[in-house]
Amino acid sequence: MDRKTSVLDTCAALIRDPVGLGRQDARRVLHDHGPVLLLIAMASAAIFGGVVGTYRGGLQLLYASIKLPLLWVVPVLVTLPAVRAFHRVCGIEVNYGQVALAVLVGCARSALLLAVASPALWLLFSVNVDYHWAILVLCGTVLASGAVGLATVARVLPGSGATKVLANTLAALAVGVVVAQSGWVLRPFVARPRADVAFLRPVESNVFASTMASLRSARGRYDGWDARPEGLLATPPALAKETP
Amino acid sequence: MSQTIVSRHLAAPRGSVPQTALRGASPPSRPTTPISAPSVPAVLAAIGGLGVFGLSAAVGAPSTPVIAAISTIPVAGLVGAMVLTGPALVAGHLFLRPHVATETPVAALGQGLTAAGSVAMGIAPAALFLVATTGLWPLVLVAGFAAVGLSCAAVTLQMLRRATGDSPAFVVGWAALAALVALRVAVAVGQTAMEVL
Repeated sequence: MDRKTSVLDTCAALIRDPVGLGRQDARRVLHDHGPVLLLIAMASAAIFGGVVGTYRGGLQLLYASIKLPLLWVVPVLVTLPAVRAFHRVCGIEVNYGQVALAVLVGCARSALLLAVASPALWLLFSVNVDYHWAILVLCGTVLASGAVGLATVARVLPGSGATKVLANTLAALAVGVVVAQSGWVLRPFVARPRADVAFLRPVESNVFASTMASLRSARGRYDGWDARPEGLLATPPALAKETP
Repeated sequence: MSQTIVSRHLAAPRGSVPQTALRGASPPSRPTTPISAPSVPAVLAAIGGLGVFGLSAAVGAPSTPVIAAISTIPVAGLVGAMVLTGPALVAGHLFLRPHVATETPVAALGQGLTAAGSVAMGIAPAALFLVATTGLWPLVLVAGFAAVGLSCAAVTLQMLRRATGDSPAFVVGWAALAALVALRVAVAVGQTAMEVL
């Protein structure tokens, strides 16, 4: 089969009928379309990352192009068993193949939407929009496309009624928490124009504490957030001081 | 074997059931479905899943003895609650639901435990990710334990409802009691860990 046609066909199926693609025999679809779906997801997210990196420019363009696909893939890998477990405990029999295909279709579709939104975002970033507005627009875009991806996963996976709603709500909660923390760990995506470029910042605090601090700041209270190293991957303070 | 768990007792002659038990009895309000007890490997896998989740969440704790103590909280809490409150569930069914087979509540408890184990195993990677990148291991442990416990209770109640055709108030009361016992056991294990620290 012609590779170009295959990619375009898969893109068309993702946009027009993702449920039809995801409801077929999971093993066969994963064999036939799995690599193409992964390629679409990674390439689309990389394009979007490149556009996000244009806000700072330079090396950040490359860094963001690498990190955005990771933001789309890492949470999916981490939460795949949880998605299956939540469905099974709600009485919906699904195997790993079905869940993997549904998640891959949802992931590729949402990443494709990110790539579609890229020109508008680039236009906005190119007129030197305020840093905080740039962050807000980025978060809004990622949230919107993520919601579409989760809705696609919910539609592709079998089940019906209240149990399906419950299973998908739990799955969305788990995926949402891990995506949020992954975004925090992989930051910065939008670097300040005068800031030093870094691939990753030290592992410190967490996205929830940061969000609470932002909410406090929005109400005029600029205290109470201490970004200390946290977690197994955090560099101990003593070592961090020695590092130039 | 499982096919006959409920039907055997439904077919039993009325006279064979003690009159004291019949006082609180009422026929099932909807069709019943027999349930089967999970196999021993499935139960062991479930306990293993609880252990894996406990270890994933506890690995963020400050020292090895504390990690060892904290990681047993999900297993100790859930299995402890089942062992302590299971007899009450069985006895309650024997007394109040004479049409229900003796094995049914045990099978339902087993199904609840296996469901809890699969949820625990499923959320373990996400728990490990959060513990590795944040300092929120106590929150991850508590939230995960709550999710696992709720899954266990929900599946147990659902299985009992399928097998008995209704959901008597005492079963809901038992679930509340089991939740409190699980919490108490978990707190006791946590206190032990703090003393070690």
